[in-house]
Amino acid sequence: MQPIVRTESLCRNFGAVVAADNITVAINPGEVVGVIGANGAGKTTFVNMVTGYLQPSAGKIYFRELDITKLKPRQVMRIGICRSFQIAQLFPELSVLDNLLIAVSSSEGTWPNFLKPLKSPARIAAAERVLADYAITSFGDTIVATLPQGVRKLVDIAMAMVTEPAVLLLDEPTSGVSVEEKFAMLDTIMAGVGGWRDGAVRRARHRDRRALCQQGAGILRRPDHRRRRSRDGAERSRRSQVRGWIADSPAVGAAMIGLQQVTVAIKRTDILNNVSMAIGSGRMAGLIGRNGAGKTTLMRSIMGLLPLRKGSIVLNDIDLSGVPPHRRTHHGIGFMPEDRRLIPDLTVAENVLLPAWAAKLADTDAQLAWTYALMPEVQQFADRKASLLSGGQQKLVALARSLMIGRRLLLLDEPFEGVAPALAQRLIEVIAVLKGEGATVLISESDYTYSRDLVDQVFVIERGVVTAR
Amino acid sequence: MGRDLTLLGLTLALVLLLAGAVIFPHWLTFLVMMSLARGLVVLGIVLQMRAGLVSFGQGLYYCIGGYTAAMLGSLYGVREVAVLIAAAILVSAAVAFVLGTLLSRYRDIFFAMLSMAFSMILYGLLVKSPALGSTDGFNVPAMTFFGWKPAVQSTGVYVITCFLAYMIALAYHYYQKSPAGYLAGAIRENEIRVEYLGSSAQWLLHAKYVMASVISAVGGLLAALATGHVDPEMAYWTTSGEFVFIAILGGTGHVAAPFLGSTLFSLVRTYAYQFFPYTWQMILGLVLLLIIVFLPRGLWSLIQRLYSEKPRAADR
Repeated sequence: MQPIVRTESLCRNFGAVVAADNITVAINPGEVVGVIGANGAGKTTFVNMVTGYLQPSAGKIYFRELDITKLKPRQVMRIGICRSFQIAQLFPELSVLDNLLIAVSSSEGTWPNFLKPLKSPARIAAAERVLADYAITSFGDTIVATLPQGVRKLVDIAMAMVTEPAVLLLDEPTSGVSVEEKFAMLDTIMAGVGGWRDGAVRRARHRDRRALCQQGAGILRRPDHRRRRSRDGAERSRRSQVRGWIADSPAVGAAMIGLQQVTVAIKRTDILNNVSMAIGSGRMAGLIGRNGAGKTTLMRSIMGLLPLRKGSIVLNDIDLSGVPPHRRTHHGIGFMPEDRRLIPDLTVAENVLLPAWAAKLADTDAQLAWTYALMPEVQQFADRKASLLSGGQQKLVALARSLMIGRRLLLLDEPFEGVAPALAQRLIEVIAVLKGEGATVLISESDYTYSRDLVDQVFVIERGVVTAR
Repeated sequence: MGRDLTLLGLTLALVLLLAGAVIFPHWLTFLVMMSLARGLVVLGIVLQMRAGLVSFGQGLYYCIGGYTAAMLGSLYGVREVAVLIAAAILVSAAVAFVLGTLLSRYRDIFFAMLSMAFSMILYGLLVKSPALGSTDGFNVPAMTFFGWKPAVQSTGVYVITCFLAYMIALAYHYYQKSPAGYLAGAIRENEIRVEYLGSSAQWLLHAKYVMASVISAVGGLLAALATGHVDPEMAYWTTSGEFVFIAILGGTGHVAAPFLGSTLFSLVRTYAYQFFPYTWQMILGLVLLLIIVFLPRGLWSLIQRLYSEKPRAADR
């Protein structure tokens, strides 16, 4: 059988960093293929090269034996290769339905159609059909900017599927989606894929391997030039060394954080409803809730990034409502946003140092050394630009950055999302060490998968209502 | 969606303005003519603003439209407005197509500065052309309007201005509702996704640039007919700056906003000049300051607020 997508010795460097090394694969029509690898292994780079967003440094890409190596993304898309994105790429100021209508109209591709009204009944019907396929009909009129990450992912995939591509590349399709929804979502995607045309390339998340194998997936292997860290003696001794460091670290003054009857609205919709909760000094709390429950909103409210409609937030004895957002880090609050939010043009070290600079921290060097000791992997790529890191690596850097400043309170928004299990274990270790040090930590997660053994108390959030468990 | 209120509103405005040809005093018809003509130039800016590009050189097409009309009238003896309109459209489209191949590769401040550079080049050329009157410019002769020769020249200009503004506004309105119009916002927000949906952002911006240029050139032509005179000032950067000023004053949310903005601008400038002859620029500055602070979406957001309580995605 003639392969539908074939690559020959694909290579790609970013400066001295090798992101793809001699990838040769052939994918047949109808096949479902998983690409599995640790963070930074080169998965996104592979998708970027096949879809024309990145030019390979060497090698060739063929679609049905047609050389597509030099094509631009829109040309690749037009011949029938579509993709979704690890971080949803949408039009945030428009509604979900408008996003899809734009996708539908773009896929028509002929000029006269382009000048007819966008909201024709046929297009609306097509868009609504896709919305229904992904069970997001109820979000049709919602402005994308106000959607939780999980729903954005679905919209992102829905937009890729509108064009009914011959090959679909999904870049971490279920990262940012809660575990209980993950497999249902995979089923939805696979049902859609199986129903049409001749096949799909599928690029999956580490944890989905089982599901993919069941679907009869071939696993794309690439030369693992990168270290696969085993849990050997050296590793263990490094960790004990870390603990030693921490014993010497600057004193961590933990805090008590309390929310009193907090209500927060985004675009006139209440996202948090009368939330009251308190976390004692040195305690570690979990915030568990599915996508859209209000986890991120709660953390952003503590950081002052969203105005409170009612209620107050107190850190120790300080009423935070009197503290402007940019001054809150000065009180030792560290925040690790779910979507990382690194400054792409700065190096990793500069990104990590940023909050320390902003808050004019006195002992920056000591704090940096402590952070690096806690996470030596971050030091390894300290001089690299943040934009050259993979999604998972950026996650680590975001955690390091929050550690720089979060001496009293750490807010970790879905820290385990989108990272390989091995890396998640590392994160857990780091967080466990912090716990031993008496820092106050709030970790949000869509379920208890990782944080179960870590936290002292659990808050469950559902539709903006928080209950202690 | 129901009835199209914009179509209704524009048509009503056209009827009222045409009635004004008989009723309005001379100063008011002149104000309306100039506001509509300059409103068209601003509409060209707004069209690009919606795609995230701010042109600080729209005066280039204002000038091209005006000079095309004046040159054909004075140097080649053309006396029919229909010919002038066709010529202004062709010339501006050709120039915009060529410049657009370069400009559509640039974004943000680079686009703004490059567009300004082109208009300043034209200004420089005109100032150094004695045959075209150098800095003084020259006059536009009287015209017939699709064969009609009105007793008073300005009546003809007034009527043709109303009709052209109406037709362009309507075309723009329907364009905004088309996928091509929606893609403006899409490009502004996420060019990568636009590419991955199979559309070329660069190509779309090129097309939008040409469209905006033609609309602005028609505005320039009408302004030249209304004043009966053209000069290189039309391509000077402060003129372009004024158009950006009006675009912000009016807002980008609706086709009527640029016209509203340019009418208010004319009024404010006239009265400011009358009462504060030495500090009128300061009044304009204050007005812009107040608009940006209190009405960041422009004057049109006031009307939107009056007219519908619920925010509607389609009108944004």
